[in-house]
Amino acid sequence: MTAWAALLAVGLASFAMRLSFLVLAGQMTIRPAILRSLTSAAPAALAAVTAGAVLSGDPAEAPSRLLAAGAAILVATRTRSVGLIVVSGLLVQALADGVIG
Amino acid sequence: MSAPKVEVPTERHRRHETSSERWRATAWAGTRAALPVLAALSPLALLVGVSTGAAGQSWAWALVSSALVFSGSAQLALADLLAAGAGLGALIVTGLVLNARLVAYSASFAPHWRGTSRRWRTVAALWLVDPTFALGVDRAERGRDGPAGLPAFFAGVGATLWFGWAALVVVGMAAGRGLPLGRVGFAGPLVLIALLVPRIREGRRSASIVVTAAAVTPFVAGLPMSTGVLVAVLAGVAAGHVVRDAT
Repeated sequence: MTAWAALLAVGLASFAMRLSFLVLAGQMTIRPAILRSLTSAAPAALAAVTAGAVLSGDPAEAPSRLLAAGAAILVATRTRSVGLIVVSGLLVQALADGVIG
Repeated sequence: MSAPKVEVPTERHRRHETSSERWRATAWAGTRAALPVLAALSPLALLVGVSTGAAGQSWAWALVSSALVFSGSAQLALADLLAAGAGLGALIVTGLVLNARLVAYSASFAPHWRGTSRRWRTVAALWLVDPTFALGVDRAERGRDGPAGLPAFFAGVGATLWFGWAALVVVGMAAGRGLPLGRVGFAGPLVLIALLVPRIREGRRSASIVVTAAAVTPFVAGLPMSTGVLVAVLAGVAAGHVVRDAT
């Protein structure tokens, strides 16, 4: 019961948040300063989610994860290929685990 | 002399076909862009399924969660909190805090959808989450497509990740614990990096926002109910007000 109530509340609120500016705010005029902050919040959120994902997990594996993340950033400045970026990161992580661990 | 007369209707017919063919080609380009992302995120989706099963939830719950919450971090947090016996308030607050970033994605994405139908914007909203937002904005800003192009591209991206994600969550649930997700689990964070780096390269302002939010994250990671994300986002927004693009 709690599980369904929580799911429906979070799920419907999530859909409302997704709709907020794409559909619901279509007719409203939003002050430029607020809009500017919100458009800054998008890359900030993407960065916070990414950093959180890189840093979460077993702290003992953190050094190899950070090395892999660094390698992925470096490769991403050279190519847009998602596959290449992910595979090179995973390879560096495996190599670092071999050396450190 | 008779050749052009025959060609005119053929030409018109062909032009009509090309527009729907172009729609399909652009949607297929979206699917192709989304497939490596789906592959990299599959360990996370499987983990969401495993955790949902471990929390004692049904298939229906997992599917509704994948369709409506549609976010790895929020779905995982809900499953883990349920397994830990958390109350309704904690579940809702954590889920809302983790998905609050969707408002920012919606605001940032909306200008690119001006002039498209309400129906398309509703579908786009349903599929809006970190990787689809990053792929969609990237495509829109590179201006590859005409006005009808973004809905087609985003249909390919969104449908691939939405249906693919739900299917993988169900597979994870069926397989349960024992899936070897250890090392490949890091593919998820790596794909986010792949989608984030183009934003850093947009300019000084964008780079300062990204770097500030990422740098603040480890210091606020321990805050209750996952509110650290909000603090990191606020720090990034503040940086965006201070730093200006070189002109």
